[in-house]
Amino acid sequence: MSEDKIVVNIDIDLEDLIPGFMENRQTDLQKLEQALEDQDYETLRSIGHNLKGVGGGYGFHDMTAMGTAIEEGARENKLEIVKENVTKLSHYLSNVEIVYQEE
Amino acid sequence: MDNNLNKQPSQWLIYAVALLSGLALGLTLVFIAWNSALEENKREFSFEASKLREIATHNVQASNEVINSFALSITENKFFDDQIFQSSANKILNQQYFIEGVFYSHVQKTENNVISELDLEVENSRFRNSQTATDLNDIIKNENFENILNFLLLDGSSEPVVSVVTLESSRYYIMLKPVLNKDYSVVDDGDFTGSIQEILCLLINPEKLIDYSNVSRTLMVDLYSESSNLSGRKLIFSSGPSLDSRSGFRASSFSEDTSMQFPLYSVKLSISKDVYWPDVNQKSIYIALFIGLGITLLLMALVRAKDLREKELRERNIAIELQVEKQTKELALARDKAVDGSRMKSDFLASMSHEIRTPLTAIIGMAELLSETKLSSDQDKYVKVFRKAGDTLLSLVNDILDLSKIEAEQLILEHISFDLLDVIEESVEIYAIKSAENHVELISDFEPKSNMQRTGDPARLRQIILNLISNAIKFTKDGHILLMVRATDPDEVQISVTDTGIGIPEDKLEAIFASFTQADSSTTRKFGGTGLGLTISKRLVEMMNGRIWVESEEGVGSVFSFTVNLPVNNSATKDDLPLEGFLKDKNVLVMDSNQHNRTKICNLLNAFGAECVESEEFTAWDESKFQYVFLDHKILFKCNDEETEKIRQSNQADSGPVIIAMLDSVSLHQQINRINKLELDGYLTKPIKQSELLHVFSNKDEMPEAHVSSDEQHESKLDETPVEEKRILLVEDNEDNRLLVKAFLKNLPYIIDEAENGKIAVDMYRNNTYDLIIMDVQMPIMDGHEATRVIRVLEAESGRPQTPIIALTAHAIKEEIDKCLAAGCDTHVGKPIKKSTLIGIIEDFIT
Repeated sequence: MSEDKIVVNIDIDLEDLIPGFMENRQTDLQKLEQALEDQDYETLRSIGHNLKGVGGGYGFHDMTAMGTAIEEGARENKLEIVKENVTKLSHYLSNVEIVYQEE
Repeated sequence: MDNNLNKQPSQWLIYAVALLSGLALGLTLVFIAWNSALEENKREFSFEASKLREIATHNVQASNEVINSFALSITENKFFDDQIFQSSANKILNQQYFIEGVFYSHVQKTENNVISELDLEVENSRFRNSQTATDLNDIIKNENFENILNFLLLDGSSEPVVSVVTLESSRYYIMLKPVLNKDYSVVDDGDFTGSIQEILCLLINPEKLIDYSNVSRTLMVDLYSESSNLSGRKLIFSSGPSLDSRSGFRASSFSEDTSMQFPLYSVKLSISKDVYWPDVNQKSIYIALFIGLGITLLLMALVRAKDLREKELRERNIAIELQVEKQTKELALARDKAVDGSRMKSDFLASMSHEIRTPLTAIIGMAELLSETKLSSDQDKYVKVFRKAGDTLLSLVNDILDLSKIEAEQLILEHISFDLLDVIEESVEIYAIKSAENHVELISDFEPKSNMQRTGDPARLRQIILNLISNAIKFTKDGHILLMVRATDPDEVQISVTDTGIGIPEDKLEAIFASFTQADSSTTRKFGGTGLGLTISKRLVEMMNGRIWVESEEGVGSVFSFTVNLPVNNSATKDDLPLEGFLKDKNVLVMDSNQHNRTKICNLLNAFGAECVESEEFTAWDESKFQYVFLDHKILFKCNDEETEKIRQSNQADSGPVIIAMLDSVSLHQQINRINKLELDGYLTKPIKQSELLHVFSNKDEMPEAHVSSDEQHESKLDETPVEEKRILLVEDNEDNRLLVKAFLKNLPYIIDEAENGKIAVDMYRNNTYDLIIMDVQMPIMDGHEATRVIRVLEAESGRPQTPIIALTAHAIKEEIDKCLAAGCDTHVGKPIKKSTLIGIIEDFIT
């Protein structure tokens, strides 16, 4: 089961920010799941865009990829893609393990 | 499907038109055939009818004449008696076969001209056969006979009258004529005087009258008599074809009427014929019908065939289209896969190279640091090996990065104005030390006055030139490397690098620009290098609309040349370019053992008006003749004591020439010491730059110090105190990203203000002064472009100095970057933001 752990290396400078950051992502996830249920594409697109914007900067490059997929999926009304990536994000958020490192 | 729907109506129309025209043609043919067939029947009818008419006309007239002449003969002949009557009657019966009998009779005269009762006494008679004789009684009692007799008596006319008497067994056409005595006359008022005492009567067989036995049975014959004042029409004879012969439908009918006029009566003959279907000549009609039907069927078949062929063609087209579409899709898919594959490979290489480079730099740096510590000779050797390996690896990675960028089409050429001369001289300078180490002279040569202000990508151009020089140095053990620049076209430049190296075998010339190829695979081991340089250069040259080629001779050297499109930029002019004739009347001596070097310097000086003398030996020395002497270090250090003394003396004298040494970069320090002893006016380092050379003439006194002072400045700079706190405005709508940037900058002396969007940022800018603004591009309410534009306008209006603005772009695409720069941003940082990049750029602007 150790394979499920997703290890992400994060700059030590950002250590203080990560808890808040992860909390925000959990909120995003909940909003995404709600929006999926409502088929609210605008919200899906907006949160996807946001994820895309913030993930990479912190070092969560996979998150940026998922955000991009959700944004584009929502823009083209492809619910399947959005769903798939929201599931991915959920899995990612529950399995991510952060290792802080000096730059 | 739409096509079919659209074609349906017109299809039916074609069928209908074909059918109708076929039928019309068929009908016309049948009509013509019908008419010609009936024409035959009509001709036949006319022939039969005319025969009948002739006989009938002749006989009717003959009977009229017979009765007239007989009556006349009775009146005229005084001796008329039975015997004469009998012979005359016999004669008549013999001559006229249709007359059945003739009789002569007295008529009882009545009183007051009113005939109440007829009393007829047959006086004399003659009949063809006994039957007629028997019939006589019935005839004279017949109403019709009495009627005409009465009419004759009342009318008093002398002309014959006719009627028809029908008996059970036979029918007679009878003809009456009064036989008048001498005193008989008719008065004007219609009454008559005298009296009719006798009448003559002819009994005529109607059948024989028209010679019915010879008449075709298909004819319908009607013979009438009409008497003017009598009871009108009497049917003399009527006959028609039997019902049996009327088979089939009636096709047509013909008729013909003839009338014969006599004073008191007329006889009408009406002949008609019905033509029934079996009588018509059907052969031609059937043929016409068959031809018509055949043509109709043929037309239909043609239309049908055409239709089928079109349908088949259409179906085949659809099938072909489908197939083509399918194949196109498959091809596109395959192509996309291939392109994707290739791009993924290149993307992977690009990102991997980037990732590799970072740790590699650390390894090389560490090796460098390690080599500076105290090491045993063995350790030193090992460190040198892995430093060299590290260098090679780094350049390999750099090359791969470049190539993969080109192949992933990520490399976008810049299009900016630059000074070609700077690029060339910088390139030469970079390799100056290396070439000096190899004892190879590196010379740049260009036309002195050609326009060097160009538009293009200077960094990539430099990369090509450096690559060619590096190759040349690698393969040249002694001699020189000449970098030559020529404008072949106003907007095209040809650059060639000539070396005096080992050369390339002719059979390897073609392959040299391919990836990972050197002339010999052993070359890589012997000379190092990645083998990618020329491939990259070739791609870059092609991207600049040029071509690259090589000429080489083994053992003599190689010439690598390339052309690139670099449009002249007329708007930019170099400020410090001296005037045309500013070296006029200057006599210059250039002493250099390398001919290319001498020529280059002299060409340049000549271009600005100087008189220049070249020499490869010290023998040309003459202190009174020249104001300036350029002395190569090789010649300088080969001078004997006498010559050195000459230099020293002329240098001390005020009138003596300005003496400039030309040193090479390798042993600069030792050489400077030696020239200091000679107290020369200054020195230039090879390869010599145009600007430095010209600088000698404009400001000779500052020359030697320039180099020293710059070094001192550099050192003093390092001792400066740390920068004071600067104020930065961070404009970013995403809180996470604001936190991120603040975390990156937390240990640095910056005060950071935050704005959530462009509008807030503009407001904050109005009320505060910032040393720098970090501006996100995509933001709600007011985006980064708009905010930047507003700030630039505010600056222009208020005269405030321009605040550096760094844009945060989502993609490092050239279009997006250009958009930022157009809005007024100074530079950009692509997301995801890298700490080192961000800090580096900030420091570029505010330290």
